[in-house]
Amino acid sequence: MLAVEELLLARDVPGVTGSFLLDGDGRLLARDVPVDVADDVLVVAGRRCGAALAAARVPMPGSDQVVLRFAQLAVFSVRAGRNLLVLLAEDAAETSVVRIATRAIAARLALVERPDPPQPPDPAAPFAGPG
Amino acid sequence: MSNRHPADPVRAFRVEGDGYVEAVDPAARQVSETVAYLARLGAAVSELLGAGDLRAIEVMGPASVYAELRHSPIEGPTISGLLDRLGSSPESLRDRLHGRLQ
Repeated sequence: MLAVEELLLARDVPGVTGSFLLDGDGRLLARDVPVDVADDVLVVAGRRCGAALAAARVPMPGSDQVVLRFAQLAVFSVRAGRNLLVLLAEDAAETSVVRIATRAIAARLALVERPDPPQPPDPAAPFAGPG
Repeated sequence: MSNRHPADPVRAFRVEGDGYVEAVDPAARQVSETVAYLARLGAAVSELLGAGDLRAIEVMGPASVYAELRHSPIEGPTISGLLDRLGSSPESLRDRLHGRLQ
């Protein structure tokens, strides 16, 4: 299964509207985010999410999830092995529900080591893979 | 700032807009300083994604944190939060924080 297909499964989690996956070096492995958000924006934002999770683990070892709740959305940063899964969600998404529902997805995404192979572009699709 | 019972695993903390930290013990102080850093990272994420003001920060794991931010046009945000060494859900910490604020 392609990594992006795992990300699409995250949309079944109540409140989740999109997601992307970075590797341990902060490189984009897969994305399920509207195409008007550029890859490099996701990389820069994702690296800050990774920094937030790393910082939280200093006083609280073993922390595996950081949620930033903004006025217009919530950003969930979830450790997936060496990778980082970032979920974009409605601001009212319940943390406990997202945490439980994404556990299996994060476990499978932990096995991803390289970006998905390029897929044929579909101009009708609202979302795209890494480009 | 005090807790309701010495055995209570939940610790309160607060970071004023000028950076002054109020915490009941060293662990809560360290967490409060970390949460203040997370707020700075969150502001950068918001700029990138157009997400609006950062309102709350949650950390989950063996321990858990729930913190809320109140923004001021003059100085940095004021952060009020709770640390639970036993890792209760952010929702329960949120409810408890709101109970404190009432």
